[in-house]
Amino acid sequence: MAELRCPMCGKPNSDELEKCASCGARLKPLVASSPEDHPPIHPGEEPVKGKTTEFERIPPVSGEKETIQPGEEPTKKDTAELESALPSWLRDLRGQEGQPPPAETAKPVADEGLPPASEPESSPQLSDVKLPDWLAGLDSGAEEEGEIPEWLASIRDQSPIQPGTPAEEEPFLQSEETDWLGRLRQEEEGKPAQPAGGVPPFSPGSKPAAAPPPEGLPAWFPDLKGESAPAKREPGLLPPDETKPSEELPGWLADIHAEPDKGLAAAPAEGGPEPVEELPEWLEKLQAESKTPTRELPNVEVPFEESPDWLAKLQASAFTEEKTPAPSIAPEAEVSTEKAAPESMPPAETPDWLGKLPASAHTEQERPAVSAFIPETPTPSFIPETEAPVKAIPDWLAEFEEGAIPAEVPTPAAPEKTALPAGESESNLPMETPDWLSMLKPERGEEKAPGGAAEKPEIAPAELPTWVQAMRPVEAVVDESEVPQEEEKEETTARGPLAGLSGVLPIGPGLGALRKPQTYSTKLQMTEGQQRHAASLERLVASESEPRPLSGQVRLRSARLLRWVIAFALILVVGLPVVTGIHTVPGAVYPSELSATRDLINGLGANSPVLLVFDYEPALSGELEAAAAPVIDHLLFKGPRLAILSTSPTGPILAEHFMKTTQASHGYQSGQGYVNLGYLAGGPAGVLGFAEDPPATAAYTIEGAPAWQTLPLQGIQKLSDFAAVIILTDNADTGRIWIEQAGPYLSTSPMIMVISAQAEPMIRPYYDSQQVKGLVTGLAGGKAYEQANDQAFQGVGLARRYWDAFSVGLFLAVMMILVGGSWSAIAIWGARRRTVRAASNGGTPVRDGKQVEGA
Amino acid sequence: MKLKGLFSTAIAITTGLIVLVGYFVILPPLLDLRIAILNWFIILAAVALFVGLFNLLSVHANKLRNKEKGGIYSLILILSLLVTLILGLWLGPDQPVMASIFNAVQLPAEASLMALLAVTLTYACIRLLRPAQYAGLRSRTNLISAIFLVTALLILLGTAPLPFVGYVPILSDLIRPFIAQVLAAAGARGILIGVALGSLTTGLRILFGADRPYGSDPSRGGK
Repeated sequence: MAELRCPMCGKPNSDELEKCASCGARLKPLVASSPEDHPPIHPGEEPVKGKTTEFERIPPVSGEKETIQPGEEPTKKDTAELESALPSWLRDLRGQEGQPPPAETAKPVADEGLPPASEPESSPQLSDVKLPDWLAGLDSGAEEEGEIPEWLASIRDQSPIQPGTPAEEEPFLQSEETDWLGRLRQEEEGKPAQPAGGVPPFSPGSKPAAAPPPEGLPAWFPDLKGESAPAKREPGLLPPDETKPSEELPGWLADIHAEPDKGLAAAPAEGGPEPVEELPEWLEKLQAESKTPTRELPNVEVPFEESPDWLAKLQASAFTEEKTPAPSIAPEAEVSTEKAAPESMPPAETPDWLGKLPASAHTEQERPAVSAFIPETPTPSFIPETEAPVKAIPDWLAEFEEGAIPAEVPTPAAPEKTALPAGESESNLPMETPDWLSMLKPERGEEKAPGGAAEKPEIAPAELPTWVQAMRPVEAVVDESEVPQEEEKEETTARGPLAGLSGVLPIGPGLGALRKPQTYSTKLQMTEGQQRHAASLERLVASESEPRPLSGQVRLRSARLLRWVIAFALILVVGLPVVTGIHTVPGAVYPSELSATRDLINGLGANSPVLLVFDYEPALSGELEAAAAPVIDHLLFKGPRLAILSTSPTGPILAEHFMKTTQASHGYQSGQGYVNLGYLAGGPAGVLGFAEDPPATAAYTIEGAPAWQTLPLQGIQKLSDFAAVIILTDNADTGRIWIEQAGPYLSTSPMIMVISAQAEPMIRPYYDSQQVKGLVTGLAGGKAYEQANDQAFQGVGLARRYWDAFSVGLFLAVMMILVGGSWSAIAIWGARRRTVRAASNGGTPVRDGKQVEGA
Repeated sequence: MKLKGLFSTAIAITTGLIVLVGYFVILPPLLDLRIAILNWFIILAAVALFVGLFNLLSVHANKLRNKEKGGIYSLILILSLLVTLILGLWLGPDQPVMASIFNAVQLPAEASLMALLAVTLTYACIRLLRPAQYAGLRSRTNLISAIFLVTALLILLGTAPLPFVGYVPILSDLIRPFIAQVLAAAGARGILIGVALGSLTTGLRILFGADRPYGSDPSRGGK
């Protein structure tokens, strides 16, 4: 499947597509005539060979061969009748064949199979030049004027890439081909050329037709030809008499006629083209005609590289470079060498609309000789089907081109590309621009883009119309310094309707070059004060996380050592008197309550029942035994009957221990001298129950025998039957319970309590309230009781033995407490003094909301 | 289980009122009933002792079963308990064996622990006024600590005569008796009054059913 290259973006597309798949541009030029008759041909494509009969208005003679094979004698025909099928430009060229070509016209390089571009002056010489076989038909065609060679018809079948020509010119294409030969013939014979259509831009030999416009040509066409005649004229290129016919042509067409002169003149400099003498007369005439000042044809580029040189030269000759960069048609091979053509043309000779066109990229040297009559491989540019290059460009198109033309179009984004090449202006033409023009222009413009900067100085800047300026990118009015990066990256659009503009988003995927986002500093912005605060906070946090020496170890060591020291000292001091028996402490103070106790015990009769309650714990047995021993010993001297009871589980056995250790001398035996009633459960309730009914509450002894039937407890039924109740306790609560629960049931029986020193505060009120009749407190009370009954004790009592040790130990403890306390007080005073000094000198670390002491 | 709570509350209230009324109203039936209730209470208290004993056994048995730290001590305790229990039940508490066990083990152990108290209290009194030199410790120096220390010293000095010196006349005759019999007694009296009033209030609360320490109080987790 053949591919069509998009004229806008240049991307290949399927032949079947009408529009480009990438940019949506029309692939096939709009042809006024039926598209089926004239299928467009695109650059790079093989021309579709077809019969020219469809372009012919004169039906072919039956029996005649319609095709001519190479090498065969062409069938002579009268081509005059076929002039209507000729393109307008060709007709015009033919009309200018009568004008003598310039002497210095360069000869176009003769491509293979194609005659070199002939100068307009050579047109009259066509008849004198022996035409090659394939052009032989031209002579006969001049006579016949109705025959169009197959090759010509085949050329017309191909879709041309015409220079910018309006679409209105297409209807006239049908008769152009048939007329051009006739005109050529007429011109040879001196007949006025009847331009069938627009003068091809590359037909230097064609003359502007002075005859009435042939069928199909617009009425304005002759006017254009007439205008183009005086538009421009290169000195030495055209004879004066040739200017007249050129007046009828548009300026651009006149320029086209004139350009071949230039091209032909430059050709010899290049050394490429053939000498003029070798060209046929008709071709020379065409060249000469092309040199006449005609209107400039829009610059049409041949996007394909295989365009023949004569075709390129024809294109180049179609533009002038005098006033404005005129469009020119040139093959791509010569695009790079294109230069501003309009500069070579006097601006006064070019029409305004053509003058506004972008400068032609051709120079005199590059402008090839026009050889409109010898097309080789048909190129879309030169198919006479499109007569656009011959026909005038509307003013609006000229303005547009003019607006896009100036090389100094300010585009800040691409300062080096601000100049719109001459060829690019055509790409900005509106929709009415022929496809061949629009297709050719951009590519020429792209190729010119790199060299745009170089071309800048050659192209005079033009003033853009307001509407063109409005189309300029925003970056064009923005200061370059603000967006420096974008300016570097922005490129001048080379394709599409926005060709030549900078700062345009690319057509391709994406939105062009990505910009690196602006980087922002991630560094924290802090003031000096904040930095100081942060530094101080950091020091504080660091100090908190710093490991501190474990002081607990030191503290533990010193505490353990101190305890050991205290223990050792106490053991030594307390044990020494006990072991040695040294008495260094005087006697105890005789408290007042001791007298009452002694009196109560002395008041007991012999064999009186006494209740002994042993409610102390084994831990304080040492103190209580020492305190109770003299009292019980004094009691036992009275020979009472004892009943032992306890509300503690260990009481009964403690009582047994007491009776066997301290009262052994008295020989009391259980069951005989005393009855051990055991443990009394229930606490206060038990005491209350015993107080109310002792036999019911404590019915059995510790041995399990009935207690109230034994000898010690005979006749006792209630608590008040006991002569006294002596309670031995270390706990104030226990004493209180007995006092509160059993006291009311004693009636006249006294209650004597032997208590520990720790229970004295709580029991003394009861003594003060006379609920307790007698009270002996701790070791001191026992010592005092022993001293009171010294006559009764035989030997040293337990309290006496413990008294010295007790006193010394107590004294040592007091001394240690005093010393330690004094030491602590001094340490506190020193720490506070150091803290005050540290605070006065500087800051001190704070701990727990207070200053660290001793830090 | 509202009926259970109501029944227990009724029993508690009835019993309390009977005992209380028996204090004020001397009626032989009421007295006999009160005595019976008290005897039941004594029996229940004795049973509670056995319940505590079994609880102790179970705790240490679980500790031993779970092989927790200190399980060996739990084993020793359980063995000692069982031996003592068996011997006591078998021989009787008045048997010399039992007396030996008591006199040789329990009595010295408890006496020794009490003797350590002397060293610990002395050490505590020495450190009572020392500054907080170590991290995390607060200063002990405050007014109450100082007063406590001074009071303790006075009492100690007034309790026993000094070696080779004897009693300090003012200290032993005036200061110590004043502290012990006036200040301390006053404080003790206040405590006793507070205890008495609290006991009265608690009893009345129980009698009125406002306080149910026997497990039927919803505020204490009862049903």
